[in-house]
Amino acid sequence: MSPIETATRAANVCDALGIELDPAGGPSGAPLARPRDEAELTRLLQRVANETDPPRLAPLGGGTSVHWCRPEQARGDAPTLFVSTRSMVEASGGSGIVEYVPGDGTLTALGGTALDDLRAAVDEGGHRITPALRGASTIGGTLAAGLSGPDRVAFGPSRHHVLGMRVVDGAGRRARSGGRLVKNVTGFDLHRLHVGARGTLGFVVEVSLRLTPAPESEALLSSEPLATDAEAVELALALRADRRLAPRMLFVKDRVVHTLLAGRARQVDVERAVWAEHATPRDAFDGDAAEDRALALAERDPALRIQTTPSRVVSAVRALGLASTDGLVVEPDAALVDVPRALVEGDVPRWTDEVLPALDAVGARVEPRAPFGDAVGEALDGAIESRIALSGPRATIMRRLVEAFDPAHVLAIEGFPAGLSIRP
Amino acid sequence: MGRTAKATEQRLGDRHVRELRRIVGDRGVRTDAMARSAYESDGFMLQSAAAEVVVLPRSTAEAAAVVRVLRDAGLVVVPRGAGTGLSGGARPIERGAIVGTARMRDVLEVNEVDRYARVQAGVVNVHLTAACSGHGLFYAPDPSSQTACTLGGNVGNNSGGPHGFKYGSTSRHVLGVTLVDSEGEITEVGSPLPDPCGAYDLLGPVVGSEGMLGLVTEVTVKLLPKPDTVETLLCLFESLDACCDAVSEMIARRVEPSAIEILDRLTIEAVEASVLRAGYPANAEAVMLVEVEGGADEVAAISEDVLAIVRDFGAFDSRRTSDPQERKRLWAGRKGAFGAMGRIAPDLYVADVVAPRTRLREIVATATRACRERNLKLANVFHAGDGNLHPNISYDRRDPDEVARVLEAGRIIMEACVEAGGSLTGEHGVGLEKQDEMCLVFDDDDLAAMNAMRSAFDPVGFWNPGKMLPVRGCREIHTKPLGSGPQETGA
Repeated sequence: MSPIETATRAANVCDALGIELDPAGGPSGAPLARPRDEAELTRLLQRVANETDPPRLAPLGGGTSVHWCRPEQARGDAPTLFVSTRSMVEASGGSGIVEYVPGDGTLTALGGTALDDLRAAVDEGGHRITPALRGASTIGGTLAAGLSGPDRVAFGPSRHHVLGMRVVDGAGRRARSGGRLVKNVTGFDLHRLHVGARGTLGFVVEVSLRLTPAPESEALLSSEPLATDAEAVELALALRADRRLAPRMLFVKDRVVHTLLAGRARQVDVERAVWAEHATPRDAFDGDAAEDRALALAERDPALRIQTTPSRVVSAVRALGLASTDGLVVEPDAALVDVPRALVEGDVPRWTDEVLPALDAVGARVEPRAPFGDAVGEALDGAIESRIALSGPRATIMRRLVEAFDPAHVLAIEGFPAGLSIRP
Repeated sequence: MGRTAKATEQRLGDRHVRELRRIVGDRGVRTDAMARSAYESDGFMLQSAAAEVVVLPRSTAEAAAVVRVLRDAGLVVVPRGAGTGLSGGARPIERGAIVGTARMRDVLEVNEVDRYARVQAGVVNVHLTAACSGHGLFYAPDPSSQTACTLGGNVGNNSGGPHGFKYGSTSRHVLGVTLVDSEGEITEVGSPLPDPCGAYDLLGPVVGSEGMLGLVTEVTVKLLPKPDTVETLLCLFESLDACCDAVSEMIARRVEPSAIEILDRLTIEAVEASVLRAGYPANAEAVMLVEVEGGADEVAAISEDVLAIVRDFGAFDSRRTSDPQERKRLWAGRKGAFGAMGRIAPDLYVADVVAPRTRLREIVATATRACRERNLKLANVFHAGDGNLHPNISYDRRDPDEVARVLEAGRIIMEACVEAGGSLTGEHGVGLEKQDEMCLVFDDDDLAAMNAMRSAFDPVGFWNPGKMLPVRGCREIHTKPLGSGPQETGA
């Protein structure tokens, strides 16, 4: 279907339902529906799911992870109509925050609320949100993309801080799970299923989060650049292993080890001295500047993510065999290695023939964060997908989940979950 | 073999019993009535039922083979750990078998560098911490039943415990499970790697699924480094209300101990009269037990903040200790509180509700009033820091009128919590006990989504059917979520 036909069809659907449409407001000039509230979103999904040859609907938050959620990989060659979650926040006339209870350390917000807005709101009450990420990304989009912040060394992945969720599934059915409490085991944790589902099981329309207290004191310590990434990761692992330290963030970028210490002022001073036993700090930032700078340094836009374990993360970095590693980010505790596009492009055959087998040998898993597009890149995508493709009972369960929550496949992405084809 | 056992074998089919015995050995198959009677209920004693057969495999492979036989026999299965659950989740069901993990007790791996352990599902919670202690690591979730409850059971109920205040419940500590499905297929869900890779997070729904998505046979859990310094604080109050308010203030001021527990006067008396005597003073109306962990300076600063707050809220005395023996004694009293209450009455109804932490005093007052009006004896012991209340009502199950009053009081407490923005259960699960009350929190659409998810794992309803999700729709139960407007009267 041509772009003009796609836009015409989107306009017809939105016109019929009275939903605002920005004909070229989506990524790459694609049409963008802008529902004002959950009721409009629900009607849109119900209508589209009942069409005989439905377009694909793609939730769009801040648009920062669109490339990773691979909207162009719709079911077959179905046209994509992006659907804004931001529009529901804008139409509400408010900030998107449904409830912030400082006395309970919890926050509930519309899925389309920007992380920066959430951070600003809870900062006034002495709290932080996890994931520690910032920018125009929305909380719904961030969770749907399965993103965690560099604070996961202290607090774990972001999925652990989701207390509850409201979603609208691919058939336009609303459902809620969890709640707004820090402790609650009532019913199945459906919300965990939507974290990292890339919007393929439903739109995240509301999220409740557990907050963390803002620390009394913070200090960001950054090492001198080490000779290699492997050496920098070894230093970071030594810091992780030192039981006297409890870092809030710990990551390696461009061969420099960055550590954010946080807590009571006296404790931060003690840990700063312990840190200095391991390395000489090149830079140190204190106070509010510390977290801001740490978050800026930790920002990344990887093309590939490598997952391993702390005991194998050095081997995984060595297995990359990279002469230049600019932009490489390693979180040694989570054992994540994020590889920027520049380190892969132009070197794809080596990645396909040498690096992936070397990573296999050290038990590391590679996940694409963005498709490479051209023919050479497709070979790499294919090599990765063949490694992570699901099979057996897990694939069966995931296929059933798709059928249960998106029976018309209006939210589906070809190849996600890995190895599942939803082409007719 | 007695007549009852013979009858069971006939229902089950001699061929199937022989096959089960071949797989797990004679000791792993319980068909006689006496042996099966031990499995008729879990810690929720108000309901019991007999299983057709109890099977105790020793490995994942045996469990998978057992499932195939039971499926062929037309039985459904209730998974069971130690049976310490308090909501009826492990109670047998009609035409059902119990598959227990009591003989799956091996710690398979402790990885010090990567900080995880892999265990069989029947490993007792406290045994895991003992196994990794030598590595300077510990497993954080510590339910009060931790000397008996199993890791597999903890996964099923997403169990908590006092230290959940800092560390969270089981779901934050499980990295992966081995799951046997209704076809007898073995599935690995999750792993020590950080995130699901190109896939949905199936592990999230499995934890806390009350045995309804499959049989968990192995569990991989995250281990944490032992803290450098630990202090336990005992704070004494003349009023339970003041004690509750002090906790709300700690949360509001974002003070971060690792556990905040409250015991009321009746609980204190029961503990002090038992072998678990912890030295809680008899002149206190309430005691607050606080644990603080971390670096020495962090611990000192937090403890000072805690003591300042409790003084502001009228604590008439407080102690602070880092002595391991004294700390152990103080915690033994708290963790043994449920057992100690056996002195008060033959049976104990352990309610498990959650209130927003700003409204602790109000819910405790509601529970007190509900029990006083029904002439019931109430003892409170709870995870105050999480807002997770355990009003414990003593009763005698042989007295039907008293049982009815207990259940009525329990329902009033639940409704008050939900009306206040709380929930039905913080760590014990829904099971049979709170099945209908699910409609206080969720509507039919929410429950339909949960059912759909369940069917993706178990399309034939083989695992623990008839638990957690209301069998009838909420409209039929004539209720809808509290706070959502006038009640419908049904069709």
